Amino acid sequence: MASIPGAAEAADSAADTALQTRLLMARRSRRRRWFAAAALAIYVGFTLLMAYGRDWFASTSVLGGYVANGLALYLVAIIVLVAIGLWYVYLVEREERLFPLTGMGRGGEPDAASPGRAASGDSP
Amino acid sequence: MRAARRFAAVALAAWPALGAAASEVGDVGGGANPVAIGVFVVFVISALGLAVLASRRIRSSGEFLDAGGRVTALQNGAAIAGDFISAASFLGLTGLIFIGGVDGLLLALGLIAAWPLMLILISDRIKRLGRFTATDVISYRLREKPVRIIVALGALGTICFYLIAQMVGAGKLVELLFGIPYKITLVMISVLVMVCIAFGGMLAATWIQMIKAGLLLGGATLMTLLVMLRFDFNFSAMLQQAVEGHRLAEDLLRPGALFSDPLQIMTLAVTLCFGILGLPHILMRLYTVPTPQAARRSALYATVLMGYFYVLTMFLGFGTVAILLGTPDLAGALRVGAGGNMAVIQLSAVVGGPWLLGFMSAVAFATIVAVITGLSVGAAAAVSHDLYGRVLCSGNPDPDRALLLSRVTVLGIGVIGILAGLAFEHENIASITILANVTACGVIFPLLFMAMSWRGLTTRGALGGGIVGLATSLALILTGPSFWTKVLGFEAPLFPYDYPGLFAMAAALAAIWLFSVTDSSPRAAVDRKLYDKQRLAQEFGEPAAE
Repeated sequence: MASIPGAAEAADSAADTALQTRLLMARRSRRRRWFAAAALAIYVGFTLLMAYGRDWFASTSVLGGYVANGLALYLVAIIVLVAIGLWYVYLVEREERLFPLTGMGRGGEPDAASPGRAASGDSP
Repeated sequence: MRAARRFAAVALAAWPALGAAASEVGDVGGGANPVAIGVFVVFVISALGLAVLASRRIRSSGEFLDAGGRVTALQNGAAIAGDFISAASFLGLTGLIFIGGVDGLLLALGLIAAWPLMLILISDRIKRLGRFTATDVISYRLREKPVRIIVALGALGTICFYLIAQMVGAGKLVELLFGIPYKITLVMISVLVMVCIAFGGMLAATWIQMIKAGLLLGGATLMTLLVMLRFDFNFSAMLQQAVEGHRLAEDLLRPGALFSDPLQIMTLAVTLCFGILGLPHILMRLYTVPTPQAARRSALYATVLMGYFYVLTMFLGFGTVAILLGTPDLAGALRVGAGGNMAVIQLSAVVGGPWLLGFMSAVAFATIVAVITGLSVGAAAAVSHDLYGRVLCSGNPDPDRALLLSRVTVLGIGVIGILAGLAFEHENIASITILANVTACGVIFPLLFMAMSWRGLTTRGALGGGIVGLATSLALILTGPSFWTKVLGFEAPLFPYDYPGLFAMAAALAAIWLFSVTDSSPRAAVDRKLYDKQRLAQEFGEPAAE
């Protein structure tokens, strides 16, 4: 049977793209989980400290003077939360530059029928 | 000429309320601050002018709801900050620190901690999957009509509860700040917002929110500098004076004055943090930028701006204690209002004189207007896009009717705001605010999160989870201290916590899981199968049309 010229290369290329897409999705999910967990852990940690670590929170052992440890921790928590956001965006944007698979999304399109609507027969 | 005519039309529409306000301010005479009136008038004229400019760019319902998707990431980040930082943050948090010390920081950190989560979990993904509202995302792969109806109703409920709390709070606040009677304040704010948003839509809301964010951050920065200058920028000295002047003394820096029960702290934290991730008027701001990348960036800019604001909040909160209570001459003449809400306004008078007092009073007014503009557009989107466009017209609405409906909804929300403000004038607005946060936390966030993250979600699971989340939220609030004892007058509440978000969210998630895993209908198989397509779309966008 005669083969179509370039078909094998095209199939390879499609397989490569599919593989790359799967790997990227897995990496993005993993990154998203870790970064969200880190941000949440900071808030949960602060909350737990307010609930169960009141003596340490009110003591001034870290900075001295009248600056309670909890106040210093509050400032650090906000800085770290913002830093997590900055770092996350830096990593995602770097990846998007390296692997420009990202589409433009639906923004700006008219109200296209969603897959759920199409499957349910709700479409006009 | 056309612009001038439009401005005249807009100004004419707003004139009765402005006229009444001006006359009332005049009547107050010595009680009113001329700087406050000046900044207030400039803000109102600017808002009307922006509405005129924005109205020239609106040709469709889409442009009305998402500003044509032309807002830049930085502009949107500033507008999100302007939309989000309400009077509750600006006045309420500093007031809480003034009353109860470090416990106020629990709320402040909850408000800022939600933003990295919004950035990481939601921002670019909902832009890829949706067009105007979070409901687009939740119903993406599910049977659209029933899911959209329940989520849109949840969103409208959240917006209405939030609106009532803002209107009642605004009426009281402006009455206190400017001496304008409560009822006139309600009419004035509603008419201003109705005119601005009915003409200018999301674009006008964006500009108003950006201006407000600039005014608020600028004013708070100036106040912080003036406060710290009094202590030679020595934070420890400021805290020392605060501790020495406050009735709690050393306990001012120890958690427990306001929230002592650990479970109460946990449920409050969950309600705040995850409630924000479900606020419909905040989520729809992510659609006003052109790309998912810009949505992500705008969430980042918002995080940075709000992080900065909540750092200032700590200095201002303890500054109010140190200066207002630590200065013997002032302590006797304090008028900080219920919950210490006016403490930061009093502080502005002490550190900056009548000029700063006037400026910050006007900023407080701008804050309220900016939040209500966001709520109005959110309601317009739920009605004209979700219910009319997608449910009634099956995704094929008449564009002119959709635009008209958006504008009518804004007018309707204004009227509802006035009526609800009158009806709830003497009610405890804390319970209404809780209702908004808990509904967002117990209904919208669980559905949004599960729709984007869990393959197993089915239409039945989404409906069951939404209904259970809503019912649990309402039941726990009605039987909780805010409603059961403070409104209904019973001796002890049936449910002990004010903020039941933790329980409502847990119930909603459990119901979503249970109804989904037990769903073996043919539709459930389709819902699960479509997750792969949705996952690709939410990560990389829809494939381009051939």
